[in-house]
Amino acid sequence: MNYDTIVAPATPYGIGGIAVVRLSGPQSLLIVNKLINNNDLRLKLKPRHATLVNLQDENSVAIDESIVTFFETPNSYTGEDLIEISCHGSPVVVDKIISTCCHFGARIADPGEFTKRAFINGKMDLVQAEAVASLIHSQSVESSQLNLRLLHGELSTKLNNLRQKLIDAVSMVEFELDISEDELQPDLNSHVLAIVAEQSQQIHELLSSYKQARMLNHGALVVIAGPPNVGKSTLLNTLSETDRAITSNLPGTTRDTIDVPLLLDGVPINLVDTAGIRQTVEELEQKGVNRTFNYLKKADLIILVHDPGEVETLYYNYPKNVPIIKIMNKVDLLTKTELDSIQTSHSKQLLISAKTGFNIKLLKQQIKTSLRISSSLSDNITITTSRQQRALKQCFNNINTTIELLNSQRSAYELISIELREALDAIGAILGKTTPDDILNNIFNQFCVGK
Amino acid sequence: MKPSDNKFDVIVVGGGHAGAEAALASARLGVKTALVSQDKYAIARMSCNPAIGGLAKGQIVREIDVLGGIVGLAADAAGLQFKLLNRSKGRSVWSPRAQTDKRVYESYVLHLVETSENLTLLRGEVVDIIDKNYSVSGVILRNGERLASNTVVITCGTFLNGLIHIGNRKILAGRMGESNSVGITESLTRRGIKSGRLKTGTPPRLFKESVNWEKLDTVAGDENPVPFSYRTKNFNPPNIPCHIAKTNSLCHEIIYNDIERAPLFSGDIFSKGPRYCPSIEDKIFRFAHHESHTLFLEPEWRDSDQIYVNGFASSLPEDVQLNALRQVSGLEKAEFLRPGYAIEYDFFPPAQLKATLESKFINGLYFAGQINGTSGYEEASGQGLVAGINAAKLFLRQKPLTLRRDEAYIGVLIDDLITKDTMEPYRMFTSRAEHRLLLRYSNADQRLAEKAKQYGLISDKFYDFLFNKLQATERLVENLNKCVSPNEINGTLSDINGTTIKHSQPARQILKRPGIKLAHLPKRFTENNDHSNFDKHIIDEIHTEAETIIKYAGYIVRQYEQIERLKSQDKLSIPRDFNYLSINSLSNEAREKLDFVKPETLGQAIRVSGVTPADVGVLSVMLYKSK
Ligand SMILES: Cc1cc2nc3c(=O)[nH]c(=O)nc-3n(C[C@H](O)[C@H](O)[C@H](O)COP(=O)(O)OP(=O)(O)OC[C@H]3O[C@@H](n4cnc5c(N)ncnc54)[C@H](O)[C@@H]3O)c2cc1C
Ligand SMILES: Nc1nc2c(ncn2[C@@H]2O[C@H](COP(=O)(O)OP(=O)(O)O)[C@@H](O)[C@H]2O)c(=O)[nH]1
Ligand SMILES: [Mg+2]
Repeated sequence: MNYDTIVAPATPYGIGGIAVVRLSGPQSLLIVNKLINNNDLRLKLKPRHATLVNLQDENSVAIDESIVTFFETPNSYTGEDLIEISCHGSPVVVDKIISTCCHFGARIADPGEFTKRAFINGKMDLVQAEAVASLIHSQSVESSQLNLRLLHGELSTKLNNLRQKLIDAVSMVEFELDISEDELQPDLNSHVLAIVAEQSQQIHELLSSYKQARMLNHGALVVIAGPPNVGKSTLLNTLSETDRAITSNLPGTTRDTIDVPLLLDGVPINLVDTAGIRQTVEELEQKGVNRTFNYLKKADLIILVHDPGEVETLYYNYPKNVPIIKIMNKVDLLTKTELDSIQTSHSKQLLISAKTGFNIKLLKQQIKTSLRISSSLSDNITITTSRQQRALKQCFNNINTTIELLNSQRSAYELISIELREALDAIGAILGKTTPDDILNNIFNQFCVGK
Repeated sequence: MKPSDNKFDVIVVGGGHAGAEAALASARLGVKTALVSQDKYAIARMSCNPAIGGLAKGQIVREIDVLGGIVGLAADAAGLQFKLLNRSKGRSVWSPRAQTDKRVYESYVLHLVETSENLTLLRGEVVDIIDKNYSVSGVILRNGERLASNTVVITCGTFLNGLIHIGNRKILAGRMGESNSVGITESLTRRGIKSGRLKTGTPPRLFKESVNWEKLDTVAGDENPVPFSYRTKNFNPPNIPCHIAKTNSLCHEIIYNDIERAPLFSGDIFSKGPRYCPSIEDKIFRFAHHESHTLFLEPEWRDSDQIYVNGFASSLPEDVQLNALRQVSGLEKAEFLRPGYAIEYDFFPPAQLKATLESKFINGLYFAGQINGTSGYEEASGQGLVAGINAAKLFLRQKPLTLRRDEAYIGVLIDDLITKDTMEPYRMFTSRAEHRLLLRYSNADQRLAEKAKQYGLISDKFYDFLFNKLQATERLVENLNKCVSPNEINGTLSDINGTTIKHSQPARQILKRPGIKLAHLPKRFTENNDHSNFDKHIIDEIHTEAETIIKYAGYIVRQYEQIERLKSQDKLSIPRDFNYLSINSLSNEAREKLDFVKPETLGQAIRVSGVTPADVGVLSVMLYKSK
């Protein structure tokens, strides 16, 4: 039985608690090993043993600390090699684990597919067949209804428009290849290019809107970083109005990252306090620092904290593309003249006091502007699920290859047709499939066909 | 007649393109075959356009050739001009086409039929079939005579209850000048087989002398024509030009003003015609902004006084057709030998067939050609070949031949026929094949030669030839792994504005670049490849194939991966008595469609129109249950 490997969340989406992601199929072990950020642990997963591991994505960015359990074929729910990953319940984490598994070769399971495999592999009683079948049916109805709801309105208009444009482009190509016996139209290249270039832009916008939607739905990741002892943990406590982080005047008190979900004037964020970044020999602290770097890479926003004693320090190349707010903390310790002079010498830094709350309101304002989300984003057109995102990414890749082909190899239209059809198939994963007949119909409607 | 004279192993009804191919294929397999046709001399007659091949169809002709069929040989013998279409476009859509002498074509096929061993040509009109317990046992002719056989192939073309329309004039006929056939439809529908009605049309034929040829441009075929068939020897066709005329606004106006007099517009015809082959009135109505349409004036045979007006299919009244055509420069004095007309005829929705083209309801009864809702000689021939082979195989109790979508256009054709709704006469397009890149006219041998040998369809000699040719291609591809050095190639590269190389590189790497051809590489790659005993056009094809294999390598791999993913579904067969109606979890539409189509495999089920992935999930679970 040469099945591929499937992945899906086994628990409902929702913030908080523990989520379970399941992988099933011959590649499960291989794939999960690629996610495990520790060479020692790799390949050592023992059947039916829960193992605590750090998971990372394809770029070695940490995802989460999770418990992984391996069930060996045939002793698993599906009868195949099966992995259960118990992770934190945040949808960001779940989505990331799933998309990383997909990156390494899994595909997202169809509704009811785990159960179906269980059934096929004889893990279930034959009389349950009808029950399984109706489960598949109801789940797919449910998920398509869900999709319909998600796709309601502008997004579906936008995607349908995108699909129609792609069908138009394929039709132009196919008309030339499949029907016109004349020489290739000299302007075909530029016509197709005009269409796909515009669609590439559209998809790009949709993909960035995914980020926005993710931040709104699941919280933006805001990471507080800086040297030790400058008041990072205190700032977290002040911003979150809690005492989650332990603060002290001993440098290196925060060894591990702390993650606090909170609403900042209606905008959901996950505020993360990190171990201070500094060269250190102490092993444990070093580990914390590594984690800090990993967090920085995937942050939506970095708050970089210094204090008057630790100015101008540049410890690390902070990731590009991530907005940074630079802060000078503990300004309550300064005299009026010192304050004035530092204000002119460090004009790009926001002067605050985590202790007294000075300028905290302004900081909150800046966080919101830097994230470029307002609490009323609902009129924006966004995609919302990682499934949609993957489909669009696939589509985006195909379209960009099309553009490359159009720019380089004149008359490689049969290859362009393959790319565009794959792009349509990808969109089909969201909207329903496009068949060759749809394309032929479009050709017959638009072109005068026949001698 | 002695009783034994009335008994055959295979009977083929109808001597059109499907019937001729079917009967010859069956006879080649050593089976006693009868070909029964209404007119003994109208064998493989071209009802319409005097041409073979064309986009997607040329590929089919090649496939038929490798599977031992005759359409390619006949077209080579009858060709007036040959053209490789789409040369400026991608390699997978290059398609050969020939304009033919339809008289030579007919007599060539007739000769094959008459001289073929195991084959008897009989004149007669079949009006009924005989069956017993859902198995066919023979046919009855109009004169009451009975012929016995447990395998019958029906290929009645456009003849069943054929009705010709010219304006509001209606003529009962199977084709202009030939009577239609009544009885078979009724005989089959009585047995529960569903039938439907389709229509198609043909343009007028002009007297050669009535055309002012001086005023028309000419189009010739290729200078170096390539034959369809790998078996054609002494290929030396004339290159007889055809002529081009252009319609104009006066012509369009006349048609537009009288458009209600066309039966399709007046409501006389309800049945669906092919959208890809629209009538002139249709083109003018739907594309009013086009100022002119091109017409090709093609001779129907060599020195023919009868000229086919390609592009002017019409069922308008004769006076309107003539009046409109006479507005066209060069046709001012045109005279009709015969006006254009539309014809309506019966067909049997092909979802009622298995992939072998055998009926799902009556054992031993096969269907091929236009009666399966297709259009075109090549489509008919391809089906005829498969049906004929399988009828013989059934008699011989040997494994039937089916072709996959990824190995032949004929496979795409039959799979589409048996899974999709027929909304209009089906014509092949390359875009119907999801693996188009793999289905090239130039690799039909690579795709089908093994199968042809395995099923005993071709002679050892022909197989050996194909085998050697494929070997030569493989060697050439292999050879291109060898390196070229900078000083061997940089001159050529800079000549064609390419980046030069610094170090030696495998030749295939260079060949992958856009614009680089095999001919650009040093001679040592193409010379001394010990295929010097091949004809020039075969060597050219070997070179084309090698180039294609290397240039498209990435995409070819991608297509094979796709195929691999889908294979298991096509292996999973569905029992014939599988009860779809009892599965509540299927959507209503899927239940009805699947119950009508009764797919043979899960793969077919997926391709049935209206069946969703969720339905397929349900189905595959239920299939495991029923095992
Ligand atoms: C008016 C017209 C226009 C067309 N236009 C086009 C076109 O533009 N493009 C295109 O690709 N194709 C066109 N075609 C279709 C093309 O001719 C057919 O697709 C092709 O000929 C089908 O082959 P066939 O073998 O199925 O049937 P046919 O070629 O129709 O042959 C049927 C044969 O069966 C015989 N027969 C029928 N009934 C009986 C019986 N009961 N007993 C014994 N013998 C019987 C007939 O005498 C005939 O010889 C057109 C056909 C017609 C008639
Ligand atoms: N005066 C003053 N002290 C502060 C301020 N913020 C933090 N501190 C003190 O600085 C020390 C280090 O703070 P902490 O939050 O643990 O720093 P971290 O290592 O960056 O997390 C603690 O003693 C805090 O009380 C501030 O705004 N003003
Ligand atoms: Mg701290």
